[in-house]
Formats: sequence, structure tokens, C-alpha cells
Amino acid sequence: MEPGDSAILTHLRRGALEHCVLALLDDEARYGLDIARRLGDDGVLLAGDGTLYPLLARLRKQRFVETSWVESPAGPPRRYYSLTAEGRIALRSFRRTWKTFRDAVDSTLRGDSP
Amino acid sequence: MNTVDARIGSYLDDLARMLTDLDPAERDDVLAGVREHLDAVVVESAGDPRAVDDALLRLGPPERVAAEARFGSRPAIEAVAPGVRRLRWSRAAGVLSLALAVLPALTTLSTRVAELPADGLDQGWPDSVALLAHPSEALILALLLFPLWVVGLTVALTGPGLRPRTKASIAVVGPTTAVLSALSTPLALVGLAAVLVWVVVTGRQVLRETRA
Repeated sequence: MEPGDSAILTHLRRGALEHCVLALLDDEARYGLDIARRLGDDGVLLAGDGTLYPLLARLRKQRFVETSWVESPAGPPRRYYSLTAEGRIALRSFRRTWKTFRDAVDSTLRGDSP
Repeated sequence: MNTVDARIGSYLDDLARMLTDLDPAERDDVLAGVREHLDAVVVESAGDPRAVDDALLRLGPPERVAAEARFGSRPAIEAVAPGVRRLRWSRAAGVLSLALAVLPALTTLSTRVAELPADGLDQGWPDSVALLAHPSEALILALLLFPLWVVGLTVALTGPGLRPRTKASIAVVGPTTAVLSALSTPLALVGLAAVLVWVVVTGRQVLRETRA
């Protein structure tokens, strides 16, 4: 990553990362460490695993996700996060909008004529 | 306290101090999330100090987590207020169409039970099953409720929140009940009982998926 890329990523994450969390929960409920690993593996979406938890707390407060405790095969029970109906609506809206946004950015960056 | 516990405790203490100005419920939520994250790492690595150090490094400095939490005093996603109202319509319509669709099943089952011989099933089943005591009553009931069912079904199928599978269930219950109610075999009666269970399960799905 070039110097300066980090600042760009920080800006780009705003508004997108929360929806990526919702997308991860679309098919199945997941616990925190699992979400962090899936999002943080490439270092692009998540600046640090710790920033995930304020995000999850806000999504829960807004009722886009809900939590339930599930027994773990080893160790204490784990808190699993899952999508609510509102979360699914938000995710659907984002998917629709993102495609338009991405196409417009790609087209502009390629220098395509309008 | 061993080394691993001490490192985790120190990280969480630092983070807690940096979150003191946050809404208490949100602060507790963030701290609990980070604590559970580290607990899971400890369990997976059987308490390997290197794995815990790596996890603490990947969490990032407490300052960064606190900054994200403070930045997050704004909503993570702009509220979808109109969506909530539409969601409530989906819920009401889903429950309504299910209730109306299952009415013939309840009527048929109650009629059938009333017709059963007093000394049990060994004398055989009656030859026919009536939807209501008189066919005219059934016709009036159907004429009154059918438009309402169609409206409920349309709103449920076009509204937000419900998964495609749940929508399909809601749509299929009505025709299935109608066909089974028109049949006069004991097997159809068993089918109607199964439909009732199916409706209860689908109803719970509707309530869960449209919870705002």
C-alpha cells in the first residue's frame, strides 16, 4: 500500500463498512471474532479488529442487528449477531445503491465519455 | 493473575477509561464485544501468549477503538423510518392472509370432529365433509373473505422484510387449504391438520422477519 492510501481507505470505509457487516450476516448469524476475521483478513475493510465492536454496538442500538447467546464447543457461550428485518432492508437498499455508485466511479476513473 | 490475563485486563482497562464519556449502554456493549473477542482467542489458542499478543495487535490501540466509538455517536446507518411503517404493513398483511387462508381448515376440522361417531373411529369415517353446516353459509363466508385475503396476500407479497420462502408459504397456504377442504378423504383431514402446523410455523416466521 502506498503512503496516503490509508487515509483514502479511512474515508471510503465510512458508510460502506457497516453494510459489509450486514452482508456477512445475511446468510447466517456470526460471533464477533468470526466477523472480525472475515472482514479483517486483507486489511482493507477493517483498520483494526477493535473498530468492529463500536460498529456492532451501533448497529444493535439501531436494531439492524440483534444478538443471542449460543453455547460454544469450548469456552464460554458466544454472542451471535444476526440481521433483523430492518437490517435486511438497509442491506438491500445499499446493494442497489452501491452498484450505481461503483459503476459511476469506475466509469469516471476510466475516463469514459458521459 | 497470569501474563495473558494481565495483558487483556490492561487493554480493557485502558479502553474503559477512554470510553467514560460514551453512553453507558453503548460503552458496555463495546467493552463486552472486545472482551468476548479476546476470550474466544484465548480459548482457541489454549491461552498461548503469542496468539493473545497478536490478537491485541490486530485489535489496534485502545485510542483507535475509542475514536471509532466516539465517531459512532452518529447513527451507523441513516434510519429507514418509512421502512419501519412498511414493515408493519407486511406483518399485518402476512398474519391476516394466513389467518384467512386457514379458516376453511379450522371449519372443516371442527365439522369433521363433530361428525365422528361417539365410540371412536372403528365405525369408519363419514362419506362427506362439509365446509360449513349449509353450503350457502360457506359461499357467503368465501365471498366476504376472499377479497380481504387477496388484499392481504398482495400487500404481504409486495412488501419488504419477508423472505421469498416465507412469501411463498403465505401464497400457497390458501389454495392448499381450499383443495384439501373440498376433498372428503381422511387423508385430506390429516393434510388439513398439517396445514395448521404449517401456518403456525409460517406465522412465527412472519413475526420474526418483520420485527422492526
